Formats: sequence, structure tokens, C-alpha cells
Amino acid sequence: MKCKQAYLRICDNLNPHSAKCRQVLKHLETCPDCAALLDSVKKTVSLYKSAPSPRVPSATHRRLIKTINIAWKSRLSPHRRAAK
Amino acid sequence: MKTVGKTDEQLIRAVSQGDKSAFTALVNRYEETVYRFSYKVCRDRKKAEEALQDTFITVYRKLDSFDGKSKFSTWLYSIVTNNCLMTHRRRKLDDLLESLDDPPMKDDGTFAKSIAKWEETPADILIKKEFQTHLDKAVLKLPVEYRLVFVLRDLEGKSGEETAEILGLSAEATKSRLRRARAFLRTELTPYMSSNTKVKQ
Repeated sequence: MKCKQAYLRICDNLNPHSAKCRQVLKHLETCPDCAALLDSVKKTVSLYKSAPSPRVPSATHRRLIKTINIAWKSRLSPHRRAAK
Repeated sequence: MKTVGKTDEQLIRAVSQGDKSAFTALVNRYEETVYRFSYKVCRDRKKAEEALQDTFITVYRKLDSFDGKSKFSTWLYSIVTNNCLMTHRRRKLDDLLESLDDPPMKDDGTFAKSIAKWEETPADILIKKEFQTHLDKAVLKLPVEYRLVFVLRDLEGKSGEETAEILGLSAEATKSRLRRARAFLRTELTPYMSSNTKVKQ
């Protein structure tokens, strides 16, 4: 297997440990470039996964509920349309 | 209606019968999911808030057209992603095609340039504000079509099939976008992570 095929398989599947990926694993053992690529792509995903993401601010939640209440009172109410 | 413990389908049925509390229960159940997803795509709290409002208004308006063929959450994600696509001006893909290409290969199928090895990733790198900014900048450089695939697959943990369904893409197009998005982000972060090319911080 060449790096080109390994690259495609690595970037499709970041855990190439199944029997299907035997050739990729074999290639990784002997190719420092592809091993470095897999390691760094995994770390990229991990960094983004670990980055904190905010929670809905309470003012935003209240505004959303208020908007829904207004919409519900309007004639756009889904049950009213369904009844038509 | 008591909404605790009800399935999405039961809540949707109750909404169609005029039960507002059922709709509020759906909002409470999914608002964090929608907000965080929008934030991961937009990297901006204000935009995420707008996306949250727009999404639930769209859900409210279209709920009677939800046919139940897919999961409610899949349908919800398709609405959020459509909102994201509509609010982001489509970037000139041509300008970015080069940077989104797969890495150059030699005729013999090996990499044209050697791949930089990354150092270990200490947990405290994430605490550094400047690194957070760098993560945000890198992901915002991705065209939104690619960013959505990356966020859905890698950050939200959706399967390839569900991601393709949400975005209305073929499995092959989804795979290709994910591969390119991952490789692009990796390249963007390499100056921070590689011992050979580490930038001064």
C-alpha cells in the first residue's frame, strides 16, 4: 500500500483497527509520515472536541420562550393549520 | 399534558393537538443541542443565539410537515444546518479549493513533503486563550459546507449516514468533505503543534 491509499483510508476512518484495515496498519508500522498524519489528525479532532462550548444564556432562553408564546397566539399555530 | 418522560413523537402529536406545553418541552429538550451546535459552526455567541431563535421558529412553523420518517433530532439538525447555510454568505469556493486539496503526492504515491510530527498535546494548551482563538480562526476559514460536515461527524458524533441525510449529500461527498476538512484543520494547527515549525507564542 502507498501513502496515497493510506491517506484516504486514514482520513475516512481514524481508528483503523479492524481486520479490513490490516493493510493500513501494516503501512503505518513502516511509514513515519502516515503515522504522524494519523496521530495529528486524531489530535486535531480531539482538540476541537475538548474545546469548551457555552450554554444557552438564561436571557436567551427567556426570549425564545417569549417568541414561541407570541407565535402560538398568532394564526401560525401548527394545530390551527392542521385543523384547516 | 405531563411532558416528563414523553418521547419526541408523543410530544409532537400533542403539539398538533394544540398543547403548547408539549412544544415548550421540545424546546427545553433540544435548545442546548441547537445552541451548542450553532456555536461550534459559527464560533460566535450572538450568531448562535440568532440561529437558536430562527431554528425553533422554523420548527414551530413546519412541525405539521414533519412526517416522522427520520428521527426528530435528524430533522432538527437539517433545519439548523439549513439556517447556517442561509446565514453564511456562500464563500468563493474557488479561492479555497487549493487549500482544501488533498496533500500533494509524488508519482510513486508517497507524500511530496514529509508530514510534521506533532508533539504531545498537553491539556493546558486548551486553557490558553490565544490557542482557543486559533482554533476558532482555523475552523472559520473552512467553507461552511465543509465545516458542517466536520461539526456533525467529529464533534456531534453523528454517523456518516445521518450526516449525509441531514445535509442531503451522498455518502461519498460526505466522506470527501470530512477528509478535506480534517486535513485542512490539521494543516492550520500544525504551526502550533509541531516541534519543527512551532511558532513563537
